[in-house]
Amino acid sequence: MALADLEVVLSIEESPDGSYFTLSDITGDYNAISNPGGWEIGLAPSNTYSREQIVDDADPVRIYIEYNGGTYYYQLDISNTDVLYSLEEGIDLSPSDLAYASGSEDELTGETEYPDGVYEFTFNIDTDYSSEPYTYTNDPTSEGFASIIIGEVIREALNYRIYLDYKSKDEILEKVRLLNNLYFSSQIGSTTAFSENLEQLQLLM
Amino acid sequence: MTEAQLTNTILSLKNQYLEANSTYINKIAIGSIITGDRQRESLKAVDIYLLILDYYSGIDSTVREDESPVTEEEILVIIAETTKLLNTFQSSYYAR
Repeated sequence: MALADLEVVLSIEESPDGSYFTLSDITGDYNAISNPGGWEIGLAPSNTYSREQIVDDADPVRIYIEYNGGTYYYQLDISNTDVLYSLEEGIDLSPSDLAYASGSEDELTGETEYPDGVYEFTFNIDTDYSSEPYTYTNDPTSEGFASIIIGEVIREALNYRIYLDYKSKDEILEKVRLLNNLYFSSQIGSTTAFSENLEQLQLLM
Repeated sequence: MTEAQLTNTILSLKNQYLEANSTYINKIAIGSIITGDRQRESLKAVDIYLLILDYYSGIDSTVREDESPVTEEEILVIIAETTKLLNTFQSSYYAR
């Protein structure tokens, strides 16, 4: 099944105020040697799959987001290929754009900003290409985001002066240290360390 | 402040900070405790200010005005504070 060879790769960035994610498709075009999991172009794909085929099959395409035990999704409008190609430029997703699918608690839909924490993103296509039902899901992308608390710590750090009392200075320095730990956790790809340090920071605020 | 001005300012401050840091390292190496302590206080503050400036300049300029938790006015204050600290950074301090 050609669709099984597709390897969709997503890149996600958060806005500085936590009000939206910018989600981009960085999969690239198919190349037999350098990118065998890339997108084919046009119908009747030979090796992977194409955006034109998705529109032709009228498959539901969704981006699933998992946060804190809840699953949410954004369904792409695939009446034409424009939306799928525009994913390469990036689309902005606010919590109000999402629908709640399942999980312990609905914490995102209706909110104005994304809570800080670890999120998991998957790209999902339900297709009946050649009348064979098939669900494609890419390898999940896990990312930690902390725009809200970073903004709060930075705002607090604006007040740092060398003439402050030691307690006030120590408080700011400790929060900045934990902020650096979040950055280091991201660098090494540890969601455990990220969550641990985020929780510590939230307790101090 | 233009993007180029912000970038150049930050680079210049970082350059001054590293020079001051080098002076501090030399003082510590010869055991100048009083001077080292005073210099370290200034350097810690400048370090925090440079973090704030890096954070601010890292936000895309097209969305900065709407989405940044810190304003340009606040950044100008921080630049002034950083400059003041680096300009008053002494190579030696004495006990009072």
